[in-house]
Amino acid sequence: MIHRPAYPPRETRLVMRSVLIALLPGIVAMSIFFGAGVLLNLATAIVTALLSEALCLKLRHRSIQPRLSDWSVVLTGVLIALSLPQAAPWWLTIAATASAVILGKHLYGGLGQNPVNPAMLGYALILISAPVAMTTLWINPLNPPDVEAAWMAFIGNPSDAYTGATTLELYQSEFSALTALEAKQHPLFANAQLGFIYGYEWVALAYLIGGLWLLYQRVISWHTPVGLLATLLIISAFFSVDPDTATPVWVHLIAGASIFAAFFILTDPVSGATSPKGRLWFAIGVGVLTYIIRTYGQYPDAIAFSVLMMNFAAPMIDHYTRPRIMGREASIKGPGGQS
Amino acid sequence: MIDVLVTVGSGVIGLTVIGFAGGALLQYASKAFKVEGNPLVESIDELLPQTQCGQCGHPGCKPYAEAIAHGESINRCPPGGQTTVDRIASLLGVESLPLDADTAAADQDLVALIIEEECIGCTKCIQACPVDAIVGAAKLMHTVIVDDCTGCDLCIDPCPVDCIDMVERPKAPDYWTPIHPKVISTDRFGQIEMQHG
Amino acid sequence: MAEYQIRRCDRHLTGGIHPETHKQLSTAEPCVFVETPTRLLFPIHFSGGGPGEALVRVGDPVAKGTPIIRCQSGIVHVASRAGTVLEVTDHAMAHPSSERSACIVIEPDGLDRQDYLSPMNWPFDAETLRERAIEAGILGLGGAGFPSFKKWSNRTQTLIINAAECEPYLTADDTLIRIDTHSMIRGACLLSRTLDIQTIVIGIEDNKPEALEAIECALKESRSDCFFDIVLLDTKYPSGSARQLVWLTLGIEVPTGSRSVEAGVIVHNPGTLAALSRAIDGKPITDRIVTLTGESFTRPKNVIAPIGTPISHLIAATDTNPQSLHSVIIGGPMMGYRVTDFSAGITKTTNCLLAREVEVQPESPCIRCGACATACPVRLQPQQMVAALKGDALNRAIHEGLGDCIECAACNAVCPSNIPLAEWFRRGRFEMKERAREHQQASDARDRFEARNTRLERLAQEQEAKRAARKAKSADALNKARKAREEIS
Repeated sequence: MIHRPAYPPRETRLVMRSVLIALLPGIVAMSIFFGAGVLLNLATAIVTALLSEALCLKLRHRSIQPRLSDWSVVLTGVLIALSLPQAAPWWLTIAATASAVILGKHLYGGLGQNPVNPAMLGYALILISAPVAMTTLWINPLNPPDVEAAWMAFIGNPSDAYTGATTLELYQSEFSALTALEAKQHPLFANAQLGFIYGYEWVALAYLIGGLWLLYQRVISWHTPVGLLATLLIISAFFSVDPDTATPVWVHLIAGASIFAAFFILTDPVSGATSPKGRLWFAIGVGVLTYIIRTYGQYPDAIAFSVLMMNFAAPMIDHYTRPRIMGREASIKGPGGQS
Repeated sequence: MIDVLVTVGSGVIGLTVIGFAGGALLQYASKAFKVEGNPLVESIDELLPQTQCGQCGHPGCKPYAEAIAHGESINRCPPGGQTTVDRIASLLGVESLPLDADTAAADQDLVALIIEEECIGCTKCIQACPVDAIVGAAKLMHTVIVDDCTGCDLCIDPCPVDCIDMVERPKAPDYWTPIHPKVISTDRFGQIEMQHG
Repeated sequence: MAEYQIRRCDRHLTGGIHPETHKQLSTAEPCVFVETPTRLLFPIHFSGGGPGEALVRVGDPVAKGTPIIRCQSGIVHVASRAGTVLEVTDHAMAHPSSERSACIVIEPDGLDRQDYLSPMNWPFDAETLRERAIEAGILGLGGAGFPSFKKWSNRTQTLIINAAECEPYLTADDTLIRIDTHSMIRGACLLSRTLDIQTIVIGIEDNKPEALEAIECALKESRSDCFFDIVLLDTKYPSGSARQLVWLTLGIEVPTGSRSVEAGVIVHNPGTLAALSRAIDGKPITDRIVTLTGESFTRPKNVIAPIGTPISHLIAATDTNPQSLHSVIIGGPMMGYRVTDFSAGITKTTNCLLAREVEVQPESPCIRCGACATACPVRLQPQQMVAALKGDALNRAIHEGLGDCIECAACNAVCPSNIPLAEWFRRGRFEMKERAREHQQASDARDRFEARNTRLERLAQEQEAKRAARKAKSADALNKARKAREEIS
């Protein structure tokens, strides 16, 4: 675990396994601060993902064992479960995961063929289909539910005592009328142990540790996380001249799924760009779109939509970020000849 | 009532103006970026095998390319085979068609062979060959230059003693093909060894 | 003493990989001669230099050095031992095609008859050297087998000795440099003086300290006035590929579509230059160093074997039972190919026999991780090229740079999905060349067709003009006759 390999992992299965290991600190932090609902979601999502993939493979007349044993769909399930509201009922998780695996992956040909990030597709689909559930079932970390309350929420009887608005939702709705100083009085910030946002900061830190470990193990390259986080940092810093009206820089970086997305969502190799420069531009694009949608759009968090939009741009990014071939004068542009 | 009319009217006028502006832009583009000649015919001709055999019904490949550019069906070239039909379809952006000929016969790469013992030196085949691939003169031996022969078999009929055969094009003695990866992909043992890290 | 310098290469390959080199496996034991085998086999069309014709018939006696095959390029292959021509028949070969083709089979009789050329005396000019290289059958002994004389021209400014030997397991060049340094230096010097080359560059990987020492000793004793620039390269695959080597040592990027000779650089294998030195003394190529290595060999080592030695004989030279092996690889693990018929005879380009069993992993779909693009030394995008080739879109693969692929298989080594990328590119490049050849033939046919049409039109016009002139003349005469008749009547 500590030794740094010279090359990325030699098998797909090992890549997926490394990412799952890197997610463990984040999962632990989420469970501590947001209750057992996270674990229930994870279990449901993993089972649904495996079953959906097995069903699709059977319908496509492909052998099941090699594909299931490469852990790629388990990873998809885990990523969705960590993106969904922690008090989500069982049907929400199942719907999101099943649509991600079936519509986002197998409809296009299975592993390696999905044009968009399956986890983000599932998230976006369910966000548009069940907006109320997706906006009212976020757990308030200051008052996480116990196991029984989590179970109640899971089966469909959530209690208002435990849910609350997320940080970005707060900034979009309540805080627009408050000054920065007044916003700081909110218990979510006042009780923060690390000085940022209670609960969310630990989760972000846990994801950061996992992500840095992935970098160290050469599973991902630095271009994607640096691209996204630096873009958010620079744009939000540039526009936060008036602290009373703009969302602070550290909120952009820590709240929402910024760090989670930077290391785990944008780094999906299949739907992102392929060349290192391309990955940088991809992440910068996601960053710009995320800032715009967060600030001027309807939705509090924008990672899913930004990722989906940049996924469609990924082939073009690949066409224009090729390195210069040895012996040629300039790098090749554009997709190229017919058959 | 008046403001309804104003709203509708302004929409109609606005869109009409945009439409005219767009049309003017397209008109300018069609003049400014006009391409001389008919590159389509040249592009189609590039894809044809240049056998000049006439099996498509036209006296050569260029006339057939021109005919295709004017709407003739694309599947009439047997020496090109299905590959050429598909490529022309891809170039024109239309659906491909099955080749309008016996595919097995079309796939063979044949050349003419003059049986020298039977040749009478009449030069009828030399006159018939569209690509000047037969050397010879009156009352002297005629021979097909294999590398220049396109296999169009236009020399077969004119020969009065029927001394020309169509045979498979001979391959160079050191000709060999690398194994197709589809074979390797399925059994993964094949001929080439992989280095594993 | 020849002037030389040793410098560390300051350029680094973008791409390339660092596999385990496994060089110690075959350098532990000293290089030995093998016994003359009972048969020697020489493919007529696949010995290097193009298709050939046999110069001997069944029953002809041959001596060591008697020409037995002359190829289309002029290259001559000679009998490597004295004996009799036993048969000329279709036989398995040491060739990736796994076809059977006509081979000359010679039975050595153990006697020492020789049929060498006359030694050349300095000074000689480039044309003489070229002829000698043709008669002695000098071709690239590093594995490619390109006729060496075709590389030599008066445009050349630099000679690079390719002592990199970057492929794992191979130690044939390393061994040759250690035991035959003087021949290599002499060959390089004579070639340079003939072609008026001022600098000789030796590109050598830094994992060959013994070879470097041998080179230094030889240079100290040499009386050549050439300047030797010894460049120490990082041990990385494929720094020994010609284009990569030219860039690493000289900083010149050979433009796409052209060869390094057109940039004024010749790259030669050390064995080729040693063979050239011997050829100048009159000896054609009859033997070569072959590395017998791999974990399946009992006693791996380097050997000096006559050309045409059956593979089974070499396997036995390592104290390994040939029956215990399913196949051996000719060449290295990256660019070699498997053969299963061990009765095939080695050729001038057989530099290594590798025997090891590796478990073959099943192929899974490409996850577009980009590891192959990072590993490519030419900076291509293998994932795009293989997607195009699998989808039958050869033109798109060519657009991505398929023509620049050096088939080094570094991409194979890093792919997590075990896709045989290099095989796709080898096949794709073959089809690309076939298509280009067909296109050229079609183009030429079109040109001849149009020329013929023009000629026929011109002839028809000339005919028409003559006819019109004749008609005019006869009309003229007719009018004159009519007038005359009228005057009479």
